[in-house]
Amino acid sequence: MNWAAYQKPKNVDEALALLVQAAGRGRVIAGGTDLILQLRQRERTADLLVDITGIGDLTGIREKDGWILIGAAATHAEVANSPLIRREARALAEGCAHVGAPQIRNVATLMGNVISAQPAADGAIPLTALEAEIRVVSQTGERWISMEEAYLGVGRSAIDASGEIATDIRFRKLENDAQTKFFRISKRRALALPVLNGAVSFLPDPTSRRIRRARIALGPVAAKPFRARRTEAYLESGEISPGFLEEAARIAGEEADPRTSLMRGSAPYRKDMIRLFLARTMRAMLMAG
Amino acid sequence: MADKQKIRFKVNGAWREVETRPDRILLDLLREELCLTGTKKGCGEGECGACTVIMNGRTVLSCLIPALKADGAEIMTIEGLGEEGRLHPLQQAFLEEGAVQCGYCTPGMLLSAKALLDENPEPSVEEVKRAISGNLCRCTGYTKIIRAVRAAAETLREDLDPGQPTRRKR
Amino acid sequence: MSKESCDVVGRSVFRVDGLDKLTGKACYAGDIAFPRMLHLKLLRSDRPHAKILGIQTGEAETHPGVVAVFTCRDIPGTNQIGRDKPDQTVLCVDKVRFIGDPVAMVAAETPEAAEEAAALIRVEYEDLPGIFSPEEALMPGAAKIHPHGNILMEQTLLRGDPDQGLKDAEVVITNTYRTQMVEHAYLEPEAGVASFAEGKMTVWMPSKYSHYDQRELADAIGLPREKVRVVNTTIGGCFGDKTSLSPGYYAALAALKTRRPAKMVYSREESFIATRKRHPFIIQYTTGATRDGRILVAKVEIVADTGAYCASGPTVLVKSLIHAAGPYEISNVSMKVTFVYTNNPVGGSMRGLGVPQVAFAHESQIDILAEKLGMDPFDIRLKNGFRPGSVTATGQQLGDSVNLVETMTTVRAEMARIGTPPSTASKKYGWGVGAMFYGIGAGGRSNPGGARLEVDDAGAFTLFVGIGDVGQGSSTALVQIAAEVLNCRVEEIRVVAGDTDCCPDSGVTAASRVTYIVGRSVQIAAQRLKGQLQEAAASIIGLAPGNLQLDNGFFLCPEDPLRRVSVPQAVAKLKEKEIPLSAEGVFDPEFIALDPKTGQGEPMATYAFATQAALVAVDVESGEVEVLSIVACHDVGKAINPDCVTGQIEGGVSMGLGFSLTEEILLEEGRIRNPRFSQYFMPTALDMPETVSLIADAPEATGPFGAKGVGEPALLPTTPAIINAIHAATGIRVKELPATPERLWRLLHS
Repeated sequence: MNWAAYQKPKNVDEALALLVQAAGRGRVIAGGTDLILQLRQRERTADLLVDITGIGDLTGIREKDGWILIGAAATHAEVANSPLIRREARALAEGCAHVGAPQIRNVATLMGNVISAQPAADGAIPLTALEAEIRVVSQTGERWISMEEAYLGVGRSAIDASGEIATDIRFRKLENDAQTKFFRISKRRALALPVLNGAVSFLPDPTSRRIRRARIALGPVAAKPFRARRTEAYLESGEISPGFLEEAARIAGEEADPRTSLMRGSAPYRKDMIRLFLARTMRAMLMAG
Repeated sequence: MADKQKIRFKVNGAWREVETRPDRILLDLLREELCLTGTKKGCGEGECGACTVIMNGRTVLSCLIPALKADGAEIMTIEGLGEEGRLHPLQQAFLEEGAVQCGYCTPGMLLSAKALLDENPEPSVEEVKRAISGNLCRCTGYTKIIRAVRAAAETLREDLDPGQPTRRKR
Repeated sequence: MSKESCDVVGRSVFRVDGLDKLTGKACYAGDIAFPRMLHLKLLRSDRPHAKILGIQTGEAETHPGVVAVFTCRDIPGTNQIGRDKPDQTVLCVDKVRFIGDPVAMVAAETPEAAEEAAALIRVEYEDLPGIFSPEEALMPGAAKIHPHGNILMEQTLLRGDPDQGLKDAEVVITNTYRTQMVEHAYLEPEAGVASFAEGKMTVWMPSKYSHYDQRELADAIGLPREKVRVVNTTIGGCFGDKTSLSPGYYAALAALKTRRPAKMVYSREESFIATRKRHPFIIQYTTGATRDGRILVAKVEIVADTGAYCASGPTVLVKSLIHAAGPYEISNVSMKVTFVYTNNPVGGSMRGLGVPQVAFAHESQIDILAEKLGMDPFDIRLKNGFRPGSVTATGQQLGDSVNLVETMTTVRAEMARIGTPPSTASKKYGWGVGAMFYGIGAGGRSNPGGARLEVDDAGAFTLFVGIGDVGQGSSTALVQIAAEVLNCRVEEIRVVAGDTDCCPDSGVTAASRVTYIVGRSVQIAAQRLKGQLQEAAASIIGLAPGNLQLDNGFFLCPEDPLRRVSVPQAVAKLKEKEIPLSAEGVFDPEFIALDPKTGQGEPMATYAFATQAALVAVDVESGEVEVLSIVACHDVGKAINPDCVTGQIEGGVSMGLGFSLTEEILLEEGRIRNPRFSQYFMPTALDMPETVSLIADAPEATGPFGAKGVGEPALLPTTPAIINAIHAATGIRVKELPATPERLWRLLHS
């Protein structure tokens, strides 16, 4: 048996109660596109699966008090097609639109992308650049954790899906002048994990040729979605010029320091691709803006 | 051995009730308990699209869907695409355009195309490619499939608005 | 051969199996289930080279749900299989030679129980040194993978005086090319179901050669061949594999022992790991030419990794020899082709049989030559390319059905019409061209096709052929051929294919031979049956048979059409005269076997020709290549069904696209590191370029209505066209496949 029972509760309290009852042998399932394979291949085990996709409270994508909120049951397709997300967080819509294939996007949730804790995550990378937070509830209470805090290592989430439920993703609605963009290279144009992906969030200063705020997330270059903080600091430190962006991109390549990988390529190549695609992305953003 | 759980769902327009083990996968349930072998297993791990069905109006990979997740859902498999004695315009177009070779990807491909046309009645070549990007085909090179989907789209538009002039090839 | 226009042949009629495939009714082996059916799982070797010291099956045998466990001791017949060299076993005896070699099998009530129990079988191995490249295998003192050593086979070709040719040549170029291991990756995983009843074993399986599998399977399970029936199920893609040791064999083994129906379906991972692959080639190629572009000499040395067993290595070797010089008149040719065992996955037949590899080499060579000589790539090919009556590297003079020239001029014109976008600093555009020739049928040996046509009392026809449609449309084409002869509609002919109980042996679905060889056999059978019916009709009407025509179900005299006899009436007459209501046809193309030393001979009776061109966009900073457009023109003799032909071309293009840019089996010490669809990058719909597929006519007199073949030719020019396009766009010459972004990036930055 890969699991012994499957329940689809109507609300979060019921879901939590089921998990508590299962005493650590239960697990939350949303879309399940990662989890089902892991359970079949015995990478994980569970006696009870608690399907949260039927919980109405978890399905929304909305704006409230300066925050954008995405429910845990929202699929990649819903996020990619959401007019709100396309307007306010373009990189997130773009990232979600690139996950796997249409059939996967229709079922797999953005929250699931975060909880799978894989470094090559087209949804999680833009969320990292957006400095998103995750709301986690358990029977003992609730907390908000940052994207950084959400990852313990490859495949290891800080969210304990046997006792906790991640209910919402939120990030601050960006200013009118702000821009975000997503990029990705992969071995073919669908059904392929990214060889490299990244999300850039810029807030340019309208009065000067400077960047007030730069946020850059890259994957899969480390065990977790990678914030290129040195690169961000550099970008915020000076005036924009062609050489300036190139230098920033070069720093990012150094900072990310990817290793040689059988599926993704050699370290020098991957470094150069970070430099190349980050530079192109930043140039495109600033030319458009 | 855990108890069986009951699923009640609508398959190709008919409500069905099945008792099955809780860890049953939708693909296996359709093929074995319901004897609907038209949906194919190409890899069993969500990477080829051969197992595509339409669930609540959207394409999904049935090899990754727990059967119990489909409780209460509305499912269409290839067997539900046409009617008895009458092909769906997509099936007719695939036949006319020569878009079937070995046929193994065909059921999943047709359903991805159906879901596209339900949402977008006039898809461009790029939009068709994107809609079937999760359905691998090793035989056809996709060329005639894309042509067939757009031909079917035209037929369906004509059916809705017979007054419009037809532009049928061949 | 009559030149009158055809009614059915040459039209894109709907596929005879289309309806079933479109409605989910088509039955594939994996769809079959019987009551009390057992599920089977193989335990395969997890190491590349080892002695088997012992196998403990006790724990597996007592696992809940398990009915039987099998090892080599449980093979009732002969455990050795393999057509050319039976060096492979159904279940390994004393040695495993590659990761995936089958060692034991479990039969259980459920697939889960079988899988769990297989994991409980304990095999005691003594590891042997693993050999993972031909270079390692050929080193003195290397471990012997087979008792007779590590060379499977070596063959040479010699025509003219290559050394003199090199002296006479004004330009000589030498390059080494490497190609990668590639997987068939058909969407239907291998499967088989068997049932043993009343002393007869019936096996339902997709097979590219039912009669061969019947013989080999019967021998393995120790039953007389007439007690074994192989029934071909709908085949979900084949591309050269789905033959010989496959789930049907194991299902028969289990059904025999347990007296219960049995079923085995490979997992996708298992299909990647255990089945045969395209042979990786290392090709050293020297070409010498005059300054005005006439090729004087070609010297080719090929070393291929044939993997752990012989499989169809010899077939691929001979094909490579026959085609390595390309579709060019070269008076002086020498070749040496060596196939070497390693502990890598087994090399077998995959679409093209060695020719995709050599075409990459010969088309690169001629392109490099063109650049060196300042010649246009088409002009140099036209200058040297085959025409009717040209002599090949094996010394064979070609017949009339040679239209390489039209394929080239057609492609050239289409390229000019499409044009080339202007290059920018980071994105370069270019067109490249590739040409090929491909012999139809097995090379240098007898390979007869067979067909039988029957008519019933109602005048309905049934066509029996030994080979099933692998997806390429063979059943449809064969029915069209019969319908053309019988002047009836396609719907009036039923096809029964691949059932060894009632179908004649048609040979194998391979080497692009079905339309030409089996099609001709069908034509002969149809002509014979028509003749028999015509004679019967003539005797009813009272005219000489030669005065009658068959016209839509009636034999009649054109001058007096009311005096007519229906086909059912003619059938009744045949029965009255006790003449059989059936006729057979056999066609075995003429050949002269290749001389073992010089490779001279006439291996095939006819050849197909093609040219393709590719437009690529290369991102010179990232190394990414996008193929924007493919133009293909194929001389197939005569297209029996044009849509089936262009469908094959388009499918071949997508396979060639993958071969050139993205597909690769990644091996590390004999282990496949990417045995899944998500890590083996065959093209998706989004990756496929705009493809223009054109057909050139060049009727082959010995073929049915002039037809030759297209199945394998479809992909042969694609890879060279793309690689040559990359060169045209960037000046970079890729000599190792696939041309991944990182490979190009290295070449661009060095």
